[in-house]
Amino acid sequence: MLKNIRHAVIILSKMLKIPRRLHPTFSLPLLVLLLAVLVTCADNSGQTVAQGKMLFDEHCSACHGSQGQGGIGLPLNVPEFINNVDDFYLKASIQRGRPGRIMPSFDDLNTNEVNAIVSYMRSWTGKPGKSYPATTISADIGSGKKTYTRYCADCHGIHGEGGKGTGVSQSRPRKLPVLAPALNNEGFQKSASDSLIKELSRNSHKRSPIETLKDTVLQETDYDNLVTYIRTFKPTKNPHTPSQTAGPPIIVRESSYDLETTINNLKEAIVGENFRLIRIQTLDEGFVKQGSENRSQTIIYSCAFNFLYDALKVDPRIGLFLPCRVTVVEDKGKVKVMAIDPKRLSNIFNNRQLDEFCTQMHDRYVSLIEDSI
Amino acid sequence: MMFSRCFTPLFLTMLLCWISFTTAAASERLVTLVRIAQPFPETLEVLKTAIAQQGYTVTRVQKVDYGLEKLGFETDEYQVVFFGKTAEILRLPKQQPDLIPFLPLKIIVFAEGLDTLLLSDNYISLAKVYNDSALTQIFHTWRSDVQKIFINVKQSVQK
Repeated sequence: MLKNIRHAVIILSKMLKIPRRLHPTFSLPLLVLLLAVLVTCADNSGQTVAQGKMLFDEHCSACHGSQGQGGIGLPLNVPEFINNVDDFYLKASIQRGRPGRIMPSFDDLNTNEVNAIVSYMRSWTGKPGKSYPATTISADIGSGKKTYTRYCADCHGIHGEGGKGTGVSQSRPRKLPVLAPALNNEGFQKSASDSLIKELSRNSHKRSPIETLKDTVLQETDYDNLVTYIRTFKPTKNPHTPSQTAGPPIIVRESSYDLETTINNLKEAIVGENFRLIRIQTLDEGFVKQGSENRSQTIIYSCAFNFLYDALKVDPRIGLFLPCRVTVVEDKGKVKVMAIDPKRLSNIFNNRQLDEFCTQMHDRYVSLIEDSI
Repeated sequence: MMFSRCFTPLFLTMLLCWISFTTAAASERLVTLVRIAQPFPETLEVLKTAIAQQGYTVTRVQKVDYGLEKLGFETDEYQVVFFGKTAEILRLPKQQPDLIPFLPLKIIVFAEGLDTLLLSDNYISLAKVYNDSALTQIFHTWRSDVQKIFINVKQSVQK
């Protein structure tokens, strides 16, 4: 131990260019300085990890699990993943997110906060991440396409669009331990270096649950070709076109019937559209004394269960729009039928697959409402 | 004096830029999702208490979980808690008819293993869409209240 400290003092003396004859004079202050530096570093590192844990709890744990074990989001604490990705990939992924694939961009976190989160993630295995050269891999696209189509496309999609659904959440058990990431995603493409993609490809097929892939022997050139082909993927266009993001986030139609007739028409339309009528109540039910409710504001709750199950498989957050709720209101002699517009609000989920369901929900709401007026 | 004259507007401009930047960036996350390290039934009870402590009335808890497990889902614990403030429920439909489809407010509760997830709109998207000062104030109040409810649930569980 003493030998090590002496050695450290000598190294520090050399770094500070202190003449050898002055070593005895400076050795004690240097020792104190050395200890102070070590303690501060250890303390800072501990603080950074603690701050990272706090930030991870606040921003990441809801989806990725409190220990990074996965949930709606992918598992991050798997050693084969966390030990093989570099810090740049993790930091860029946090800051860029995955447009249209649920994970939002955390570009409001500053560099120190992102660094702290990554330090915390590294503490799961206690190992630093690998580092990769930033060199561009340029090989044969055609051969890469053949390899990709044969070995990768089944899970990652023919255009690299990724698997369907969310990570390992409450939705149905799946044959794969994780959802195959979208390789065409802008966030992934800009976060991963060519060398990292090559390394991940090499590792992922060895860990693949698909038995035939485990024994597959690919050559270095095959991986180079694969990376070159993956780099040709174009990101899926943002579905939130101006027409979708403009206008009010509600559907409102005026009825030509009176309140009671409109409500009855709506009930019939709900049954006719194969929804299950769940509940009819006034808006103020439960807030005012029983018997004094305002009947001119009536809510009808319904649900199309097959649709619900399919939507939940894609993203459990669809519950924000469930169950279907249509409100019939009479004011100053006019009867209006109202509902939220799921298509207009679907951008809150950052999930392109869910957008399709929200558009279908919009169409079904419009159909129900127009049948009742 | 000269320094203060030049510096104050510069400082205020920088502050304003920073505020608008952080607000825009933060608003990207338009859904509030919180993980509670406690099983579903207990969390649901804690949530109802936290909602009441924030001055709201829970009017109903709706199951959206009919037979999910039978269909192969890992759990069928998935419910919606409806709540509101009596004064708002009586006032807002007249004053702000556009808010009717959003009333009563709701929080989604679902299980994920031994944890429970709480989910709510964070209302920022609605504030941006309507771009109306009175509505923005309401949305911000709802957002703030929901955040306080979630914090209370987390703290109750940690005790």
